[in-house]
Amino acid sequence: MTQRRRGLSFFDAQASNVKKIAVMASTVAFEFNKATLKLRRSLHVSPRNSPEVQRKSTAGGDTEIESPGSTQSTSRKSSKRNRQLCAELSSFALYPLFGALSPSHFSSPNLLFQNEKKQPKEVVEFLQLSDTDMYQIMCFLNPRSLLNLSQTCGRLRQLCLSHEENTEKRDVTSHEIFISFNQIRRKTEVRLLKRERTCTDPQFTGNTIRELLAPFSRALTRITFETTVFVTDWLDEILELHQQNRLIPLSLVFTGGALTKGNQLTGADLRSITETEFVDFVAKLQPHLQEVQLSTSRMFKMNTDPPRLLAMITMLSSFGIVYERPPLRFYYEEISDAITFWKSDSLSRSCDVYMRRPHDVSIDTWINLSGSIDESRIDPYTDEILVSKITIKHSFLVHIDLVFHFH
Amino acid sequence: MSCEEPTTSPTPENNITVVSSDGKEFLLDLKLTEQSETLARLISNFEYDRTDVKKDPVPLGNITSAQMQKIIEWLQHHRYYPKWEQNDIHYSTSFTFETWVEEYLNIPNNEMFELLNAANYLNIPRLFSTICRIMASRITGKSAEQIRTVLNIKTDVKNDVYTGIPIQEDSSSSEDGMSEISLSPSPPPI
Repeated sequence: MTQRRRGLSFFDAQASNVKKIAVMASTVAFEFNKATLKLRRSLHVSPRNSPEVQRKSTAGGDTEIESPGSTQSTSRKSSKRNRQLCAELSSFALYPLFGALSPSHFSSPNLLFQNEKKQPKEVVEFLQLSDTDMYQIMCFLNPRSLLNLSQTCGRLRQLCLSHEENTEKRDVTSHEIFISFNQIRRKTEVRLLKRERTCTDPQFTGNTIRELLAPFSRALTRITFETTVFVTDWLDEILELHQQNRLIPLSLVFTGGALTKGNQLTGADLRSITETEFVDFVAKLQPHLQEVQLSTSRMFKMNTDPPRLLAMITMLSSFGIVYERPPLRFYYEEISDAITFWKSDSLSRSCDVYMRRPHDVSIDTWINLSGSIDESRIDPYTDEILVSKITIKHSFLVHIDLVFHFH
Repeated sequence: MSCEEPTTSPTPENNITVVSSDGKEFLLDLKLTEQSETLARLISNFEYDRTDVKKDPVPLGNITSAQMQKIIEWLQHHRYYPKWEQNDIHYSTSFTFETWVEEYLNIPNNEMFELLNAANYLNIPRLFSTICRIMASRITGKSAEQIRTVLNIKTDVKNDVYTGIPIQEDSSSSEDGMSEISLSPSPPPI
């Protein structure tokens, strides 16, 4: 029994030893495999990079030419990757051994994560130049190129805009300005729309005219004031931009009067300025301003006698007063004075005037003003002949006509 | 602009030594340094034009040896040119560069910017102005997108009416300088 027990204990001890040896052998084998793997990776011996494969690819004519720089960078990349892999795998410091064997330059574990990449040479970019240098370059650019440069990024745009007054400007006539009251936002907005636009053309909206003007350009444009807009709020900005040669209003249109119903006046609001101020404003925009259309019922009060408003026919090519409330009718004498002044002024230009028919003018009196009646109709109630269109020739300028369109 | 180049051999007395940022020393003739206002003022202040004054090397911390080499090449070429006068700082459609200048500045943009900085630092107005004009000629006639590509600019403006929108010029009126610009299809305003 005792012998048998001894035999059993012997077998038990032997079995546990075998188990221990097996575990040890397995550990050694694992560590050996791991070390082999690391060694192969360190020496870059992979099936892809093996000499056999390379020889085969060369023999097949499928050679790949790499520049020395690219090979170097590839090997540097892979060595870094290997080092990281080794560091993650390694439970003990085999690293120095493989470090010494590998073609890379590390030799101790504490260099594992050392970035051996050389700092690249600092490259100077355009935006790293000083503002003064950039401005010097801009001095040699034409307006179109400056505009294009200003579209590249915010800093350049600010820089271009800050020196805009020193640069030549280009005339642009492609857009027109609308100043309207936004009923939803309850505020006045400036919109910029393309001339001869389609519904797909975009519109640009802003709070001021200035912010919508493109840099390095002079906008020759029509400005339309829509209903409920207080015109006086915009006169200063228009004059300022005009003085700065940024904006040249060719036409001023005050609309909205057609919506008038009974006593409810509509249209652009001109009531807070006087007739004199308005005429002065128009005179300051000369000689560029060609057209003024007062199609609003919220007109300024006529405060001069004889009315200076009619004298604007010497400055403009088109002048109209419609929808005004109360209706504005000039007397023959006032019209006659205006025509006489227009005929005698050597700077007069052809002008179309749209206004209400004066009460006290007959056909004979128009003929006395050397006018030719182009259109007329008979009033069905009074059987009176009503002149609708009359053309008056300038006294000494050829092909310069003043045409009245009465309604 | 033409100039005669008499053959004169520089003597040690009329030289100064400048040291680039990477420690390389360059021997410069005092005649050449007249083109650089910075060096000329320095020489005048330290009286380096006198033969009995000991001339210490002048450190140029902002200029590398490569840039210095390039600058010396410029100074040598313009050694006998008349003094530079900046009288036209506006663009001109008829401006032409010397062949030598075109070859000299036929370098990548980044090197051009480095040279511009160096010319600015040494205050060499002829070189500075020429580089600016050359840079302008590289920008002229290009769209915003092309300029971004050429100058490696990344746009930082979004939802902006000015950004990256091509401008089509009216072909019928593009001859004269003050023509109408047709802005389509989605233009910057006016």
